[in-house]
Amino acid sequence: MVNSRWKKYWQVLTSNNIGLFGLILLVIFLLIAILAPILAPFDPTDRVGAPFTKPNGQFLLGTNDVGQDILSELLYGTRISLLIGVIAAFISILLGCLVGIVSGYYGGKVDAFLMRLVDLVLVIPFLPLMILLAAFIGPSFWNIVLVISLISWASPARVIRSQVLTLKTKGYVEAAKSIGTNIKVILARHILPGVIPIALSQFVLAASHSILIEASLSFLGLGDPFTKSWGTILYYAQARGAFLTDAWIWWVLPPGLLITTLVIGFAFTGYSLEEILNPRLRKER
Amino acid sequence: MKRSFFSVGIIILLLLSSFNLVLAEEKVQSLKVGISKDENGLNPYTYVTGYPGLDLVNLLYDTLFNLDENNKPEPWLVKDFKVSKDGLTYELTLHDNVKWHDGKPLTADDVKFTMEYFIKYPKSRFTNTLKTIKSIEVSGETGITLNLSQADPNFMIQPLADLPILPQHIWSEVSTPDDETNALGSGPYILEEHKSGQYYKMKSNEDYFKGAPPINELIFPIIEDTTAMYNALQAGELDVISSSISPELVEQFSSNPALKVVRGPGYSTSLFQINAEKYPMTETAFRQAIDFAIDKENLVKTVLLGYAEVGSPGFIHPSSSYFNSELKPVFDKEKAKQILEEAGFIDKDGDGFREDQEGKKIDLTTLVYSGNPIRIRTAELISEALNEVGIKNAVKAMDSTTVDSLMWPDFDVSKGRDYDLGVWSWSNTMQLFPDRMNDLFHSDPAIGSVNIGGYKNPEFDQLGEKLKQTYDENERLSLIKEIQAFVAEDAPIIPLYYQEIVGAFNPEKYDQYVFQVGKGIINKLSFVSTEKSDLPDNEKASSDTPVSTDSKTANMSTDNDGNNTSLIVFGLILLVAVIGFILLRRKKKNKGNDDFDF
Amino acid sequence: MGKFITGKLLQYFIVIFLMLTLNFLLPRLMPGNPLVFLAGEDVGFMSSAEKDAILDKYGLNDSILEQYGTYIKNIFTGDFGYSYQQKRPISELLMERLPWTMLLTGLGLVLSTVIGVMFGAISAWRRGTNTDANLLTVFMFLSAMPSFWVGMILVSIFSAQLGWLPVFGAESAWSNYTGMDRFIDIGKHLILPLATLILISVTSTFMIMRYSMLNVLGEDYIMMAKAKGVKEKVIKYKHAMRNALLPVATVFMLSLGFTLGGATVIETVFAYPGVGRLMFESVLSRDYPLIQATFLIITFSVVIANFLADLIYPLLDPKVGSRNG
Repeated sequence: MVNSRWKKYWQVLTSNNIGLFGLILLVIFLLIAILAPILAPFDPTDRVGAPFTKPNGQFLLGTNDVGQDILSELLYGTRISLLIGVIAAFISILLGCLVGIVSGYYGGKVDAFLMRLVDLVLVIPFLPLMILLAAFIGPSFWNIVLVISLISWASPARVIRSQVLTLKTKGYVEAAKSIGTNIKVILARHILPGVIPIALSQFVLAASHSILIEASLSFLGLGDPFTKSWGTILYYAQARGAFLTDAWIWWVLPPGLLITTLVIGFAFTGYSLEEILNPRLRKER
Repeated sequence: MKRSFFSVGIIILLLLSSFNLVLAEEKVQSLKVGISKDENGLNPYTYVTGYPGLDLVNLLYDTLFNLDENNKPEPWLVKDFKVSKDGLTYELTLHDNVKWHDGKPLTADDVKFTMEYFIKYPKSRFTNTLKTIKSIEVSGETGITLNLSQADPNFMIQPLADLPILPQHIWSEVSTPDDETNALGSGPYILEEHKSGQYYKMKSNEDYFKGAPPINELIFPIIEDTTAMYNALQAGELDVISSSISPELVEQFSSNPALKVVRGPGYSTSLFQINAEKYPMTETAFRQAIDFAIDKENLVKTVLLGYAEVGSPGFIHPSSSYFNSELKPVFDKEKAKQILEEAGFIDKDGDGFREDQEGKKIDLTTLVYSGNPIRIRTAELISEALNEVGIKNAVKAMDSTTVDSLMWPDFDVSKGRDYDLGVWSWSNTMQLFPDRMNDLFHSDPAIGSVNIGGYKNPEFDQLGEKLKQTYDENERLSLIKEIQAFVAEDAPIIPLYYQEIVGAFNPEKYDQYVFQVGKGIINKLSFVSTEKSDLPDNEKASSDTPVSTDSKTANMSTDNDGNNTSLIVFGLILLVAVIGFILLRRKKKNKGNDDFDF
Repeated sequence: MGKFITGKLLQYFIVIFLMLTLNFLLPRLMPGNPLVFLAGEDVGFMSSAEKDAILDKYGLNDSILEQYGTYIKNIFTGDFGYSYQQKRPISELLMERLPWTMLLTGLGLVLSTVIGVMFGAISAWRRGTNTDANLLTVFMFLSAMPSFWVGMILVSIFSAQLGWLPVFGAESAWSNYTGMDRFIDIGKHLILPLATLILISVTSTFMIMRYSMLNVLGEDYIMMAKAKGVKEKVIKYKHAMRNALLPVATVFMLSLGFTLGGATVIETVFAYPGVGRLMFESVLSRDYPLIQATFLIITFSVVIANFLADLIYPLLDPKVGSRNG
């Protein structure tokens, strides 16, 4: 039964153009990330040319400020940006699920406390806290991931809590509880199947946000300058005057476009997932 | 839908072009100087940065002497002066026609008041050097005699050419100078307006004792983002900027026909800082190996694109008259390895990195400011070089305040330090006089106040003490050269480079700038009419080394083409996007209506 | 209802208290101290006594508890204190920056809401058509771009390359424009940052409006009205849009709370003198009072906006009241 439901989700997802497009994009980026060593003409950490070389046959997108090949940086950067997005989203959704399920399932004081905690996190001005945390724990790949996920778990927690509440009202849960079914069984049989799809779409959206946040943090100089993400490439580009010279065409546009495309890939997938999960939004005919 | 997008676009275009017409108006007698930071109140107690903050203060106030373009003190408020043979007595005579901005005369009493005021309300930059004054005697309106407790070879530079003279009739009533906003002085310009975070506005002091200054109105817009500042200069919104043009943009600015670019030596010194208190950096051999491992010339070439002077191992800038020209930067990887081997730093476990003399693993961290890409790149290259000779290390970039708190806790070297290595930089004042070597390397925190490496060597201390008691110029010169050689050998720090200063301005608006060596074109001399007739031409005025780069016309045409191509490329990208979008839609339409088509 | 409000108030009071404490602690937990900004760059040549005197003057030698006490006291007396770095009263600094921030983010919020609502309604109404798909694609594309990137590219094109619009700042303040000239000058400076802000923020309103409109269109009464043959325009504007605006209104209220915080990234790109930039600088320079004051303003406005939204929402939509209560 569960199997057939997943099959249906998959069918719905792929029969939907937006979702399909998003998925294709994600797969392409995944391939780029995996195949980066094969695709990239150079090692992105090697200084292979003169600094600030314009694009030519050898360096298709020129070189950066210390003579590293920009194209190779971008290809390898896919790994980092994808990883940051996925890991940060994963942690925040995990936290969100935990808080959401506990809060929704137990209700009462636990619920009130956890929801105020969520309120607190949602109320904290977003960027300033990022700045403080980044400044406090210092920039490194894992710290950026931590900072992003610490801040983005709250809103998924809310969504998941309300889903759990909806599931509870459907009666199975109460019924199962009343006949003394083990919590684990209730969770596994009645709650998780309803929560996971929602969590999945939240996860995809969170991933797209994480990628954008990482880019903004890097731009403000709060990222890790030694992690070669697209955001970092943009940081160096803007810090070394690429916006003022012709270099913006090969040094600024491509990373920005890549970020945009990857985020769109996630956003499209997430959007159609949401659409599938909320049948009411499906086109009435 | 598409049509409406286009019409919106056309409306926007029309709006923009009408704005463009309004933009075209400019005052001829006003000069806009971009600065990168709000400097607070522009008086000697409240300004923020040494450059350009203090230079703005000096447009409003006057000093007794003033540093010329080669940083030699020349009389300014002082008309005549006499220094006794033993260097203990300074007899100064002031110009008698100097007036404060409110019309009251500036007299010797003001000078005496200022010196006493700074002792009473300390402001370290000015106060510290005043402490050698034993007594001050005023004779008449313009005569003043200073008696020192001990001779100070740099007395003319600091305090005399540094200390802005305050008006007694105003400051005698000020008891909290750090909060004072008054900026009434005697200088060539009068502060008219300061809008915090936005701009300063000064007007010329027509009654200035050296003649009315050449610019009627000076405006200093504050633009914190350097990219925005460069943009504004290129777009003609600014006439000159205080920030040096970064190396990668020099060519671009030189090729701009509306701008003129001058470059010259800068005194800001970038160095590789070593915590000499922590093993294995306590070992001279280890530090020497670091020195040999770093290719300073490559740093200059790769990171600074040649717009820097390679660091002299003795710290002192090659354009200084105290420079020891026998010292040459070293780079020899094999030598570095050899030194390490001989000293017992050997890779015994074969992991590619050396262990220390007792066989323990070495793993060092290099700190660097995260906000400064040039330093980050420098750190990266050095880290790579050190790894290559087998010294395991990694770079860690953190925000400047955090790095400061580790390398220089509470800005007090007696409070210790918590780092291994770091890319560091000292501002130009460190090169102003060679006695700063004592501040840098003396082991007593009271003397070596910026010895942030905790370097201790009795031999150096001896040399330093000797320097403090030497007044004869020739003896001093040879002593300072000896100290440089000592530092080069013992490698408490590794000087990397002195970044050049590249100034850019719009010569149509104003071109009487003076390039002050080590500092740049935003200085008092640039904005006053001096009697010197040989100043105006920039290339000459900027002393020996500065070279005007605007003669590189070869690149000009291509670069202008480049600007157009960039627009064309952008247009093309848009076009491709639009076409792609339309095609995508078409394809989907053809696919027919399945249930979930959007 | 009354109980609901007091309960909420109490909760918000606790949230505010926690935020106040966090505001106090976070900056002090950050490594490094503001000494260099207090003392100027000659700090290295100062004696310990001099440095101590400065720290004393700003109360930084007091124990943390004492500092906390002063901090809380000052909040209740409305005294934000002096900025360490700018050495001016913070209320004065904020008064200079707030109007610009409100102009930029306020206008941005209003415009992006209007645009988002308009296109969101169209999109939902035309669900399944090409218009819907096009709008959806365009808006999702907009939200996928990094804001600073959009801003810098706009600057590169319209200011640096074409020279049509000014590069930095909120106005050419030193030009002493008055009346209409000043208005136009401010307008010219505003166009690019405002456009960037709208471009990146319009999508959320669009999505919410579209989503909520779709929900409303699926409601029975709309179906009924359709079945009864009520004119399309009447359904669209009178019934559907009005009801669909509810969630948009809530989100608008919540975002209103954030407007005072400015838009740090965009303000940085355009060197716009807003609160966001002020806050960013204060963090970098460990300007404790300024960090606290800017955070405080943001926290308060966000919490108040939240509270108002909580209050207003049940009034607008009775269903919600029962669901929450």
